[in-house]
Amino acid sequence: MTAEKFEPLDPLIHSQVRLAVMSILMSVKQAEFNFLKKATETTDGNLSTHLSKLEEAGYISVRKRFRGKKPLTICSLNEKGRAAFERYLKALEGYLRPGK
Amino acid sequence: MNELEAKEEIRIIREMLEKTRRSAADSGTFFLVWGFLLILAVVGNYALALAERYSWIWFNWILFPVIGVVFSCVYWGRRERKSGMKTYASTAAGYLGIGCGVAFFFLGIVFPAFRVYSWGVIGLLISAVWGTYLFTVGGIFDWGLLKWCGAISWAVALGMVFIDEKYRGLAFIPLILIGCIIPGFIMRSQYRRERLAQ
Repeated sequence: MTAEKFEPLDPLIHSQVRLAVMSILMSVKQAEFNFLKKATETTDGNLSTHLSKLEEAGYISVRKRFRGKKPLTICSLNEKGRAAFERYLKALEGYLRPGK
Repeated sequence: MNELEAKEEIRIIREMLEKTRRSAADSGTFFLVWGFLLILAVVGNYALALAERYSWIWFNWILFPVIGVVFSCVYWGRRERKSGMKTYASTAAGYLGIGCGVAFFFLGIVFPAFRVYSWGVIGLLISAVWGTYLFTVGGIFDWGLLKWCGAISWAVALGMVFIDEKYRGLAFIPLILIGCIIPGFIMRSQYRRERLAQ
């Protein structure tokens, strides 16, 4: 099989942290920043950068609120992001040999 | 990208889904607390009847559900804060719980208070609504046991028609065991097993 036959992967999702974030948001209604940070085992700054990229692409929505006096960042997947993630999974399947 | 990298990406996706599933797992506390509160309410009902304090029976049926509602609000609030995420399934089950709670209030307190029907009918109606709650929650979380518990609750509701009004309350005890306590203990043991596996 030649490389030309593979579907290109969305560069916005093709990063370990962004892929992890998209995977989580795909299975939940919404997730808090701290939950994403713990699950992806990354730092505040790193996660913020990746979330901003996904938000700018219109893949996710980021809302900021307060819980008591503490700021709270809540993320959720948009329709555009859901469609992009489904395309990404389909393209990823192409890289795996049948039965693997 | 090669096949190995693709496999690594699939592993990341699976790992994230598994972490999310574990965080969303319920410890069964909600079912257990409601189960024990309802058993206390049924026992209280018969204890008051035995002591011929009939005028206090209504208070008994207000007190325990109110404790349950306060507990539910605190429990779900804390659980949401602790888990840091919300699933579509938990949101649907939450709204269903609120809806059924309001239905219990109308069917068990408001309508009988306005003498729309006799107090003896309450058990049947509560069992039917409870069955609907369990069956639907079982469907949302794809848990066969709860679906069966829901079906049994409907059967108990039907069976209550043939039981004397005085003893209908007692039919609630096996219903609470099947519909609350047993699922609660099963959830708790699954939750603990998963915690140990982490």
